[in-house]
This record gives sequence, C-alpha cells and structure tokens, in this order.
Amino acid sequence: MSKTWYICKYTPVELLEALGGDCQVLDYMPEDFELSDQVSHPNLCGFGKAVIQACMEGRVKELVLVNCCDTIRSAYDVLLAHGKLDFLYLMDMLHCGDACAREKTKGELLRLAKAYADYKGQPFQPQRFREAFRPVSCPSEPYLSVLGGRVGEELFAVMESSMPLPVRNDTCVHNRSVCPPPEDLTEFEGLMDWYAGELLGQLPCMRMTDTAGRKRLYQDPHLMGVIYHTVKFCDYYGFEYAQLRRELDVPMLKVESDYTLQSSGQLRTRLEAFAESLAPQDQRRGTRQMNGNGYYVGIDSGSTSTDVAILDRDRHIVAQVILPTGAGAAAGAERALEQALAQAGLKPSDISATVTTGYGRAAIQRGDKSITEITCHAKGAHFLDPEVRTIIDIGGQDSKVIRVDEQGNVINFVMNDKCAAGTGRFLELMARTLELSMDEMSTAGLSWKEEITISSMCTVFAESEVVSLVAQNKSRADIIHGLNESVASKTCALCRRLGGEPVYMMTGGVSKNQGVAQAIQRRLGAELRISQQAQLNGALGAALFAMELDG
Amino acid sequence: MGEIVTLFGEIVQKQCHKNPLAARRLLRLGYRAKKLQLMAAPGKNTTKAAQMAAVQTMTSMIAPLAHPERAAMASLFLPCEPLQVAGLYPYSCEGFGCFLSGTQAEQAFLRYAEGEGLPETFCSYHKIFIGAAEQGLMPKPRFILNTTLACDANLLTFRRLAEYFQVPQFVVDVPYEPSEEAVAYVANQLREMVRLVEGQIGRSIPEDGLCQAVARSQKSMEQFQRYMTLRADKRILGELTGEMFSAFALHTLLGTPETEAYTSQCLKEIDRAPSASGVRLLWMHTTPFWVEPLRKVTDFNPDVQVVACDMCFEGFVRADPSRPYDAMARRVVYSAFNGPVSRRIQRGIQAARQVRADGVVWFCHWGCKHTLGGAQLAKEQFEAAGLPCLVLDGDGCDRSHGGEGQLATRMDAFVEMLRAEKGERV
Repeated sequence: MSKTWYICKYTPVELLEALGGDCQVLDYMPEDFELSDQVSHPNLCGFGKAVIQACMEGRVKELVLVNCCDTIRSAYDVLLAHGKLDFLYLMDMLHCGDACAREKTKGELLRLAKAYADYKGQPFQPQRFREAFRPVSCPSEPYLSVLGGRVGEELFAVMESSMPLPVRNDTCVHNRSVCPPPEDLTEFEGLMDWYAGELLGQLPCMRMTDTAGRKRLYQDPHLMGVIYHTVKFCDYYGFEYAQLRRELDVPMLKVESDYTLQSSGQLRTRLEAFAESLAPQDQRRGTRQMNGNGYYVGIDSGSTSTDVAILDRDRHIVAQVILPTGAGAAAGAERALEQALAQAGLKPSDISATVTTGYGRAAIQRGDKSITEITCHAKGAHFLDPEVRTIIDIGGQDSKVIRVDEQGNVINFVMNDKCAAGTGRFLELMARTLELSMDEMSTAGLSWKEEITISSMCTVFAESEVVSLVAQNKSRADIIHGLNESVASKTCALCRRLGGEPVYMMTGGVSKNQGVAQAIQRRLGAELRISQQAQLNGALGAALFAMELDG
Repeated sequence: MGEIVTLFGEIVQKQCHKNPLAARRLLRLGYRAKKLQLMAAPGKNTTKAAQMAAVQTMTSMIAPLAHPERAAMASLFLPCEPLQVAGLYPYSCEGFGCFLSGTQAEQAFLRYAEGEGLPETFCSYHKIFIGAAEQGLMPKPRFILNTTLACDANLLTFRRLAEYFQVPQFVVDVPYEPSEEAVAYVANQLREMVRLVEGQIGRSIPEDGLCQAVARSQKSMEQFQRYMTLRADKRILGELTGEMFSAFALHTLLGTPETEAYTSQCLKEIDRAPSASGVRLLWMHTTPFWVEPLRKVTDFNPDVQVVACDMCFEGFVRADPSRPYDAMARRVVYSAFNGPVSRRIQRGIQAARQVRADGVVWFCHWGCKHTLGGAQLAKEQFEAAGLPCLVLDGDGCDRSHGGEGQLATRMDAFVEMLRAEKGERV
C-alpha cells in the first residue's frame, strides 16, 4: 500500500487513516535541490524545496499539505503543475482557533474526507479512527529540546549523537498532540466538529495568531537546554528565537540549516561546542596519568593557518608556531608541530598530551582529544586575560562571537552562516581588488577623509561596488575605511545578537587589521583588547585542555 | 539632489540612535519639504495625476508622524475606509519601508532588525519597518490592524510590534479559497474590527459615512479600470516610483476623496494622451525604484513604459457600496493575491491584454515567498499566453542586496528582445 505523506501537525492524520490511509511525516533531506530549482525558485525555504524535490524524484505519490505558509502554498502550486502525484491536496487552515474557525475547519475536514474517500475507495471506519490516535509522551527526566523550524531525521540524529543528554524533537510537526475522542461521540459530523476543535487546540505553531501556548515547550522543569533550529528562508521561527534570546533561562544554541544532508554535517562543530559547554567542567578532566615530560600541545587547524602552542607544567608558552595550512590539514599540522618542537628544543616523547581543534581537527590523527575551536577560544582568551567576557573572533572563513563566564566556560556563542562577508576572506578579496597587501590594507584606511558606505553585504556585489568607487576616483583610504566599517557592522550585529558584554577581546587573523579593530571598537563603544597572542588563542586553549587531560 | 537625500538619510539614521524624537521631527520636516517640492515643482515630465498620487501619499506619511495620537498601523491590504471615516491616520509597513528607503535611511534599521536575531531572509520592507519602529522613529500607534493576505510577514511583524508597543492588535484572517462563504466570514471579522476601533476611540463609526467611503472606493476602482482599458491605445510617461504611489492611493488611501480625484484625473489625462508607442510592460509586484540604472530604462522614456502594476489592481472587484462590509471583504477575499498563484497569473494575463502590454516583468522581491514561489509558473503561463516574461530577482528597498548593474542588464536585454519582436530596431 502506498504511503500518504504529510508535513504539518494540523493534518487530520487520524481521519486519513480511518479512510484507509497509511500516513507518514515527510522529513526527507535531499542531497541537493536540482529538480526543485528547475520548477521553483532557489530562495524558497529549504524545507519547501525538499518537499518539491522529494515529489519530483518520484518518492512521494500521495501528499496532503496544509497552507502553513507562503512557501508551502507555493510548493502546492508547483506540484499541481509539475508533480505528477496520484493524490495531492491542500487543506486550508485558518490562523485562529475561535468558534468560527472551528466551523470552517470542520467544513475543510468534510471536504478532505470526501476527496480522500473517493481516491481510496474506502468508507470511514470509526474503529480505525479511534485506534489511530497515538499517546503523547511527556518528559520525566532531564532533557534537551530541539525547537523551531522542523528538523529532518538525519540532522536530528547528528544532534542526538552530539549531546550529553536525551534530546526531544519538539520542532514543527513533531510536537503534534491530539487526544482521542470521547467514547460517547459516534456520529460522523459530530466527530468532525470535535476533531476540528482538537486539531486547532494543539500547542500552536508560529503561524497561528495567538502563540502564547508555545511557552509550554520551554517551561518544562526537566528542560536543560535548547537547540533552536531555523531553516534558511523560513521566517516564522526566527521571530520566536529573537524572543527566546531574552526570555529563556537555560542555555540555547541557534543553528540554521538549508535542509540538505550536507548542512547536517556542517553544523557538527557548533553542536559539539554546545555539548562541551553543557558538560560540567570536572567531566572534561582526565583521570589517567599521561607519559611524557610535562609538555602540552594544542594544534589549531584553521582554514588559512595552522597554529601550534606548547605549554610546560607551569603554563608557560615554550613554543608558538603559525604556518599556512596548505593543501592538507594533517600534513599542515605535522609540519607546524615539527617546527614547534624544534623551537622549544623538545622531542616528541617529551609531550604528555595533545589536543586538536579547528576546522581540520577531525582530519588530524595525532592527538589525545579533539575539542571545538569555540570552547578552545574561550579557554585561551580566559588564560590571556581573565577579565574577558566576550570574544570576537574573525578568521579566514568565519566570524564568531563567544560569551564566557568568569571561569572561561562558554555561556553562549554565535557564528556567521556560510557567507564570506565580514570575514578575513572578504578583506583578502577586497585587498586583491585594490592591489594591496594585507599589511597595507590594515593601516591604509586609518587616514580616511570622506565617509563612504559600502552598502552591499555580499562579497561579490561589494567587489563591484569597490571597482565602481575606484572608477569614481574615490581615495583608497576612504574606500578601505568603508570596507572596515562594513566588516565592523556585520560583526557588531552578531555581537548584539548574542548580547555581548565588556570586557571585549578580539582574536583571529583579522585582529591584526588595525582599521577593522578600531571600527569595531568605535561601534561597540567599549575597549577592545587584542593580545599579542591573539592569533594563537585557539591553540593555547587546546594546549590548556591537554594539560587538564593529564590527571 | 541625490547627495542631499543621502546626507539627509544619514543624519536621520544617526540622530535616531541618539534622540529618536528629534529624528522623527527631522523626518517629518524632510517629508514636508519634499511635499512642498512635489506641489510646486514636481518635474516637467510629471503628469498632474502622478503629482496628485505623490502628494497624497506624502501627506499620508506625514500625518502619523505629526499626530501619533491618531495613528493606526495597518497592513497594505487592509480595507482602511473605517479608519478614514473615524478620522484616523492609517500607516502601512510597506509604505514606510519604501519611504525610508527612498530617503536612503534604511540601512541602520535593517542592521538593527538583523542584530535582534530576525532572519536576514525576511522581507526587507518589514525589516526596515520593525527597525524604525523599535528604534523610536515610528510613533506608537493607537492599535494595529492587519490581514493574513498574501504575505506571512504580516503575521510576524504586526504581532511583534503589538507586543513591543503594548497596543491592541486585530487580525483579519482571510480564508485561502475565494468563495461567498469566505466573504461572509471576512465581513464578520471586519465588523468585529470596527467594534474594536470604536471601543478604542470612544465613539462609533457612522454606517452612512462608511457607505460613502466604500462608494468612493468602488468609483475609484471603476475609474482606474476604465483608465487601464483606455491606456491600451495611449502613451503616458511616468516613473517606477509612480506605480508605488498609485498602489498606496488604491489601497491604504482607497475610499478617500483624494483617491477618487486622482482616478478622475487619470481619466482626464488619458483622453488627451498621444497614441501608444514604444515597448509596454506590465510590472508584477513592487518596484525597486532605488535602482538608478533600472530607472534610466523605465522612467519618462517614450521607448519603454511600465503601463500597469498588479500592486494597484489586484483587489478590483464589483460590489454594492450599500453593504460596506461585504464590499470591503470581497476586495480581500477575491484579491488576485489570495488562493493559488495561478489566480494572480491569470489576473496578470487579463490585465496585460487590457493595457496591451508587450511583455511582463515578474519582480521577485527578496523575501517575498509568494512571488518567488510562483516565478517559474508565471514565466510558463505568461509565455503560453503569448506574453514574454522576465523573472527579475532583486530587492524593493534594501540597497545592500546590490546588483543594480545586473538588474539593468537583464532589463535592457528583455527590452531589446521585445523591440526585435515588434520589428523595431534594437
């Protein structure tokens, strides 16, 4: 028997099953959106594109949609024209749950029941209707909740495997809660009237007018933390996230995916860093005695450079090396470590423990443990300056803001998403356009005279904007100042989103760019500390963790 | 002139950060100055009707800034006749988004909204509006009224702002399927909305006044329909901004004597207009009037004209003004933006034939999922109806999305193609 797929918790699943349907949530995460992009637009929300893609790939033959949002309505339009489905239905669901809406929803249920019964050729079976209701589970032990826009199976599996506590998928369709009908209600129209009220009375989704009932999702006493997920180009849940940032008193991580399989992998670093911040400090400490002579290595394998720091037992830096990563993370790490050992006059056998971090950490075989760069940056910054509470790290391919407590533990963090704007790469490209070295770029904007706004935040468009400013004979200093301000604006927006607090420290390669650092400081209205070891920060944190491994 | 606007926009943004009330006063002053300029020296090519729409819209933007105690926030598709009769000043999110962008004062508000954690992919009109409201530039309204029609952003923006300002909100929930049952459902909600407004202002809204306002709405729509039909054989030069002024006149300001006068003036001018010539375009959705290279193609150009825009005519229906709630509800329920996108496309095809357009531009404004989602279907269906269609991606108000050159190149190429089809020299 073919499956009837659905996407929304307001779908009358029990009614469809009573009419002979075998229903299942459509949570398919495709490899790409090639077929969807041919018939719709790339800027639709990732989930809507995944629905179209699943149908165009022939995986779905029966689909019941609800007019959840503009994207799903569009997906329905597209599938009606191109989907080649055996059964496609869009159910209208109003945005409120009052008596009029209930009456209207009952009408919709009767309309759908007729269309589906005609398609399946089966009458309504009251017993099947009652049996179709599933019990709703409530948390009874500490747990983490995934909230927000829907999370597909593969991404949820990554979340589950990364977290130190049980994880509940409370997103979108997954928090469906419909109770069975009263025993004395048997007549079909009466049942549908009750059912309409029950469907509308569920914990509301963000499309409903009154969303106050959603508080139940994050006021559970067993809730220990929240992973807030949004789907790129879905706007509904970003608004709830903006509200929870202020209201929630448990740790929260914000992640965004485009609903492809690849995006699940890309989010792993953030998930692991969040898990590290949830684990108590003493759980991270080692219990075994390490060999070696009391030297601890941290290796930070970044996209642009590989950094190595070696500490002795007294937490003195005995070696520090920063090398270009080159083609392979593993080879880069070996090369940097060799140089660091030579610099300190040590042999490999002197090393008691090694911790790796950075984008390339998974590719490096050497090491006793791998810890995300977010946790390592927090540790390193705390070591360099214990007063620091907010770290602004701008590296080659990402920028992040990390808030730390007085012990150097991560309280919260935010990273930019898949976009070069506001990163070291952006500045590199602009330096190339202006035919400057990175060192020249660092100071050339300091003597600016005219305020120029680079309005394009997209790297490609900003490059054309710079070219056109050059053509207008604008001075190089003014253009670079405009670029610095543009990076600072993007960074400070991240900082505001996280609720950054003084003391601020800047780390990462871009911290060497005086123009950008000054622009950020101006916008923050607070001192921005930059350590001599700013670029080594991640490696230092990793080395400190290596020391903690040695019980 | 451009540099003065840039400077003014920068001052408003900076001032807003330090002293929002002073920034509001400054903005009001700037808009008053602009209104005077529009009245005294609108530009030698601007028609009287276009001038009337511009002045009327400008007046409606100044009013809530000058009299916040009478301001009501409303979504673009909300029937505003009850507010006009009650002497209130409705101001729309899209309207202010456009105006702040026109003033080049949008970037700080966009950055603020994104800094608050709101999605970067959210509609830019709404992001600017939220930024301006929460930064104190927009006045606190008496209440907030919106529909669910066409745009999910309505639900999000207005709910957030109602919580922010702590003012009552009323949502007119529009069923997806256009039907008489849906008209009755929406009419009842509009009655309820009026009761809320009456409770807030402490007096009733006279039914006869409402009937008169709705009668003006019907007359304005009929006159504009007639104008569109007559425009098929005539040439009226205008600008992209003018289409947006017209859209405000025919939505938020529909039902006012000024909009009726505007549509009457359109009819007068069309009689005297020269015969049609050049490439004629139907524009679907909002217009990115800030893109200078695009304006060079479309503005006051005898060779290329935008002859209609669906933001103006999407809600035109026949209705009985003596049943004002039914008439207002009908406009929303039977709007071309309601239901499947094929309704909007079919309405576009009908309008393109009515005004004798040579081609159609389907403008995918950043963040508008309704328009983005229907883009490929629109291209297929317009072209199947013999109307070449250009799908143009851009942003109606956010300069940081850039791409001016790319927009203009695609537009130029489309016009060259249409010219070649008409047998004209490219």
